[in-house]
Formats: sequence, structure tokens, C-alpha cells
Amino acid sequence: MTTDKMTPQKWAFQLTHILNAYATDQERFPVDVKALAKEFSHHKYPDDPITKVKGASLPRFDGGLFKAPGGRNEWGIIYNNSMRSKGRINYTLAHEFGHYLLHRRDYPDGIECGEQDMVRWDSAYGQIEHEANVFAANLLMPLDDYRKQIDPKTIIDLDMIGHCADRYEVSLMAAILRWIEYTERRAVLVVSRDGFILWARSSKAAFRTGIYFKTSNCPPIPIPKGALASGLITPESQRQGIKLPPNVWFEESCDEMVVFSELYDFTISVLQLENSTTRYFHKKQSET
Amino acid sequence: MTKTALGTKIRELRDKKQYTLEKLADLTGSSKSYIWELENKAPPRPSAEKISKIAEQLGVTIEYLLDDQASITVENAADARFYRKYQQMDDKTKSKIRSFVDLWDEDDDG
Repeated sequence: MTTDKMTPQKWAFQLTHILNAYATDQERFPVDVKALAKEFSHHKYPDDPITKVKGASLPRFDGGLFKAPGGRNEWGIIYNNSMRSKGRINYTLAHEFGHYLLHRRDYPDGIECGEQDMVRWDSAYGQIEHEANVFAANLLMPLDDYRKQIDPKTIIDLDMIGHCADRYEVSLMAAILRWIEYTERRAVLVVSRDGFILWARSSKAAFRTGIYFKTSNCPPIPIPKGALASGLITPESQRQGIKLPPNVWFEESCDEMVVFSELYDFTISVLQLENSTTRYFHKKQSET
Repeated sequence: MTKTALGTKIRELRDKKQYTLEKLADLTGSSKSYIWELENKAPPRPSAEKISKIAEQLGVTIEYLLDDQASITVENAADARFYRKYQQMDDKTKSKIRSFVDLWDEDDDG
């Protein structure tokens, strides 16, 4: 049996097909990762299945994939169930299930993930953590269903994203990142702390028009003073955010919505731009 | 981008003193963005002089600030990371996790 050729996406597609075939519409989401991990692994890998899923209050710990004691060929997922967001728990379970499918052969003693490991979503952060995250996102939020919730051409507000976060039982952050992957609009997710950008992710359409922030191997980028993320201004509607004039985030105007996460000590901004313009594209090109 | 143990310590100590980034930057003759980088990113070579000033202002020793970093060899980045995470967990959590593994059959969410 070879697992090496299987990518995180392929595993998630395979499981999505099974779930689509067997689950009724009402019970399709959120994905019951506990049951899925046990049943699928028993079926697919009867020689070393997941036989245990156990949650408890485990401070500073997210979750881990563990080998059974006494040389038994069984695996277990142990996770912190005292995390304040239910979405984080479901994501953690999917993440550890991903480690089982993708990495257990390379890490025969198991894998433990600490707090903060999984809230750092940038791909530079550890290849196997990244792969487990890609698996979790694809499994919990299949794009065919997500597109039915939010059309790729739609301008979003926080209620729409909140609806999806609830539907898939994931954090707002996870739901926004997934949306950024497929939206046809120009949008950027910016995660910041103490007035500087930690990391950012652009939609394809935004990236193509030169709308992105480079945050590795370059000096920190400060949050513009006029931006909501600066915490200096308050929008009339938290849900819909604010329309910002040109030369705040970008040369052109944009909409900004923010979520302040006290728990993880960062600020999430969703920036949305008008879709037309080839103007800026030419401008950017001529600069390089 | 990996947050270092050094960065975490500086930020925690700064919070405890209720210093803003600006304040600590002023006190140590650094720029605000330099302190931010130390806390949130992993600048390749933090200057010894700066670290010593920061330690002084935060009321700790340089050794304390640098301790964790020194113990990490770069033989295998991934392994080192797991090891470090495991080290940072408190003993209670560690032993609880161990006991779940030991009591494999009795203890399950179902």
C-alpha cells in the first residue's frame, strides 16, 4: 500500500466523495471527524487504524497523533477540548487525521502539535504542518459546497463568513482563507499584531493586479494609520466594515472589515477591492 | 516565519511592564519595527548590544533571554521544533497526555 503519492488534496477529495455519497444533506456538515477518522482508517488500513480519539483539558496543547503503547499497531488522536472555539477543535481533529494519513510512516512515534502551531497558517511554517492544514481545509470545507454558500463573484460581509464558519465548524480565519482561495474578486486577508503585518494572503485576482504584501525576508510593514486594523477608527457597522479612500492600504480605495482576536492576540482584516481596473496592473508592471 | 522563544519572552516581559513597542524601542535606542521583528519574526542575527539593552530594561539577564535558543541545534528543524514545543508544555499536561496513551482502551470519547 502506498501513501507517498497521495497529496493532502487527494486524500480530502477521496473522503469528500465518500461523505457526499453516504451522508444525507442534513448531516453532511460539519464533518464528524471523530467518526470518520476511526471508520475510514479501520476500513482502509486495518493493520494500523485509529482506535482512539480522546479530548481533555490540556493547556498549551492543541492535539497530537499518538502510537498505542506496547507495540500495538494502533493510532490515537488526543486533543485539547478546552479551546474556547469549537471550530478550532474540529480543525485540530482534521489536522491530526491529516498527519495520520500523510505522515505516520515518516513519524512512527507520532506527532504533537502545540498551541500556536496551527494558528500560523503561512506555508513557510513547516511542510508537514502545512500539509495537515491543507488536508483539514479541503476535508472540512469542500469548494463545491462553499461556492454554493458564497458565490465566487460576491462581495462578502462578516455574516456570510460567519455562516460558513458555523456550517463547517471552523474558525473565522479558516473560513476566510478558504474563501480567499476561490473567490474571483480582488481580496486580501491581512493578519497583524501591534501595528505591523504578520502575514497576508491575496486572492488570485488581487495578486494578478499587484495587490499583495510580502512579509518574509523583508522589513515589517506597518498598518496604515487610516486602516481599521490600526484600532484608531471605529466603523459604523462591524459586520460590513468601512469604505477606505485611496492611499490607505493601496493606491486605490478598498473596503475593510476587521476581527480582533484577543485570544490569539492578532487582528484579521479582510480587504476587498473593485474588480475592474487594468490600470494598476500596468502601473505595477512599469515599476518593475 | 517562526516565532522564537526569544521573541515570546520579550513580548511577555514587555506586556508585564506595560510598555508599548515605542516605549521599549525608546528605552533601548532601537526602532519600533526592530523590536516588533524580534518579537514576531526571527531576525537572523539579533545584535548582542541590543539584546543586552533590552534585557536590562526588562529586568532580566541576557542568559535568560537567550537560553532556549542556545539549546537548539539545527540538525533537523522539524524535530527541533517538536522537541521545543514539548519542552514548553507544562508537566501536568505532559503527564496527562502520557496517561491517556497508557490507558488506551479505557479512555475514549466514543
